[in-house]
Amino acid sequence: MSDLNEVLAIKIENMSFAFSSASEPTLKNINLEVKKGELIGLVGPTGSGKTTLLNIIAGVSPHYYPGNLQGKVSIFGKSSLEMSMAQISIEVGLVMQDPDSQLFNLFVRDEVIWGLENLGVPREKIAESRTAATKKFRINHLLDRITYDLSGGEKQLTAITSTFVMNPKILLFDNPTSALDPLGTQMVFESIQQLHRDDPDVTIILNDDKVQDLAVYTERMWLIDGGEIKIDAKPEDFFTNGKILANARINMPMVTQVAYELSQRGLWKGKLPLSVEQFKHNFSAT
Amino acid sequence: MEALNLQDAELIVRNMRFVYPPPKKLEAIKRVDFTIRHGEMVALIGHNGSGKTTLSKLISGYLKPTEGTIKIGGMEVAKMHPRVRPTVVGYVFQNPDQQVFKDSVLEDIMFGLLNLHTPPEAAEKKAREYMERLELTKYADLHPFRLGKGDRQRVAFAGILVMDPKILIVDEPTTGQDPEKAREIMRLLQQLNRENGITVIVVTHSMDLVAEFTKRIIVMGGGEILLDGTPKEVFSQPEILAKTYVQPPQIARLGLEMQWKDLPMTVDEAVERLTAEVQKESVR
Amino acid sequence: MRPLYQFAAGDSFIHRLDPRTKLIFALLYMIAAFIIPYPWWMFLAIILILWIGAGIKISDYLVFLLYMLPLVFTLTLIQMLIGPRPGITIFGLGIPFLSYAGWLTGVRISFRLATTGMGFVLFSMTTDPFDTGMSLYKSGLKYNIAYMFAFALRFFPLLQEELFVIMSALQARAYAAVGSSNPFTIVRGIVSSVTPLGVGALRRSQDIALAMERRGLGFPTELGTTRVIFRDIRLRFFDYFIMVLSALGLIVMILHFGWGGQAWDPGVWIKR
Repeated sequence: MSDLNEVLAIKIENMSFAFSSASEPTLKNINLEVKKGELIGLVGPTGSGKTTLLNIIAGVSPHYYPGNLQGKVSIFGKSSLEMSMAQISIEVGLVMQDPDSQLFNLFVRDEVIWGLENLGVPREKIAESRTAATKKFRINHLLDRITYDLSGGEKQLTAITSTFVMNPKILLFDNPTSALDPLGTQMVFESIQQLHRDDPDVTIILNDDKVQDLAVYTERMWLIDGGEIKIDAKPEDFFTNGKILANARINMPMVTQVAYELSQRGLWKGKLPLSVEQFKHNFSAT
Repeated sequence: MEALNLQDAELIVRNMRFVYPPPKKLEAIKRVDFTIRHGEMVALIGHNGSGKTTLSKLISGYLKPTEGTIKIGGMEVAKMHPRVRPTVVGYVFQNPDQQVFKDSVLEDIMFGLLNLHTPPEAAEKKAREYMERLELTKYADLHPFRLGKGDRQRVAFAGILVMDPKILIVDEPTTGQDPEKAREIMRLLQQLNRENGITVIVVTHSMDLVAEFTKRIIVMGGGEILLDGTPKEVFSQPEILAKTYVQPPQIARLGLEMQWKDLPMTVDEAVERLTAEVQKESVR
Repeated sequence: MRPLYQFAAGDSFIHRLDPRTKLIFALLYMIAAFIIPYPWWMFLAIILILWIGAGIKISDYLVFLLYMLPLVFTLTLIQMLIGPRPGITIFGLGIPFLSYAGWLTGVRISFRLATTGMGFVLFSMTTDPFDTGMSLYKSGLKYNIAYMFAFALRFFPLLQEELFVIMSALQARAYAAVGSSNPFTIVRGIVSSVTPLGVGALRRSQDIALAMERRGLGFPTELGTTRVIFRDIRLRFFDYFIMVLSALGLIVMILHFGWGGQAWDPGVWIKR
């Protein structure tokens, strides 16, 4: 039973959080356990506390953006309040919404190794890591490009590579595709999927509005509404909670919604489909 | 002398080509021809670099065609006086923060009218009218930067709309918004289009919303118009759309997968159709 | 659109020199332009140096030079109006109220300023700001200051792009300043853009500061890591060679001309 003894990647117990400037808590009664290597999708309306939750796991709050944190947050068994943000940064990588705010160097080749320089990694090892990471995210052809000349998708991939190269055990994505066009979005989702496949030990939480993609790419989904976790389930079970989702004004993937409506009329039996292919398959079965 | 006819502000683009001046020298628009009638609501889609933003900048007069003409209401946009152009074609930029120039919502909305030398009382009256319509009245004296993003965007809309443009171009209003906020914006555009008779051209990446809210889609790719038609027509051509990295909305892909001739554009359409199909089956 | 005197990536003799070498060369060159009585040769020479040594053509920075035109034109005009008599003669036509000596001084100042500008162009267009930052760090400057200095230069094009959008947004609001030729109106337009530009920069800078911390700007102090500089920045033979050569050149020039030597007469164009 190694599963039981294994240390959880993230453990949050009875956590609530209020920003110093706010009277109301942004998050309340959060209890979550995340095992090593999970890929979790996070959805919720604007202002529900999604970014704050990721920031707390990343140590940004309360260390950098101060506030009152109640309860306990542990990263691989260590309490995040007992670590500094710098210490947490090594374990937890955070990719943010706007790629332009995450690129500081002139050339891609300098950008991707900046974190390693700051960590004091030996030069030979830096060169090695750069080659491996840029290959993994397929940006090796961009190394000699200037960062602000890249397309949105290329910029975000560079930001992801620059975070990944520091070898974090947990990677958080906070709205990584919302500033991108469909091509850029596809590039980012595909990289995350590939990362999950190739590095099964890396734990990933992905906050994104594109529910349709999360339903297919992730293995577990959280719904936050009003600062509380309202649903925590596998994608195929997640969407059976039609009322809760409607309250949070979260749209299901369109095919899921069609099946859901049909099931309400007694015309759909069995699991809700998450993609067009699944729909067709399940529909011809009924 | 060309006369400007604002009663029928039809947009006519003829044989138009655009090359960015050196050192870029990029041929952004290869040669396009199209007409948008006064009062249409059109979506302009395509991946970044397809030419859709360049096209919208040409229509609004920020760029001048290298060849060919763009006329609105019979007059070339490039030849309009800078004080006339905003009353013909309004352009709302993507980021509302880059369009705030005054310290209160009311003043900011009046800004354009005062630049047009409208008397202050008339300008305020008009600004208040639009504030009422866009539900901004309660914020009149607040600094625009104190509002939420959705509200700031409506302030930007109002600031353009007070000048009574006949054509409204909106650049990616749904990018960076959650799906529900994005839907609200599209609903607002639809309402403006219906009630004011204003032509709306919306540049966007949200295919679900385009399918639901517009009647016509122009698809740009490689500086050319790849497709121009109703959502049903456009989304029935997934191979052509793939050239500009656009995927039909999931509901249309369901229709394509089920090999329906008439593609559904909304969840309800699909549900009704499937319900009918299942009931027919069970009768048999 | 390339912002003014922004780094032009390339691999050339000048690009490969250490930033400190280029900085010293550019400074000595500028001083020389103020010593030599015929600064136009210095101006032409640096254009050639940039062209041959770095492959950067005049067209790449012409806009920058054109921006200097109103300044040098005004300076020359003032010199001609306030300078000592006798006046000048153009095509046999005497213009007594325009000073000939003033003309000489004006032309000289103009070329000296233009050469100074070119020194700046040479340095900034061939040097990655981060190379500059890191070489300053190696010479003892604090890392955070050296890095922020470089980052500021990299941030500049972003701001310029943002300013461009804001000016367009002003135009959409029928604001006359954009595209106007009246300097007073243009200044008003820039003032109107300051708020949105500042708010945008402020919002962005908070995110940037956080992102920098996440990637370890503070690691050496917070975690006690020893920072490694991956880029290969050191003074090579040619760096020392060029530094010594330009210093010698300047010394020879000072010995020959003294501080402000005798003038060669640019009156080829305008006769006394």
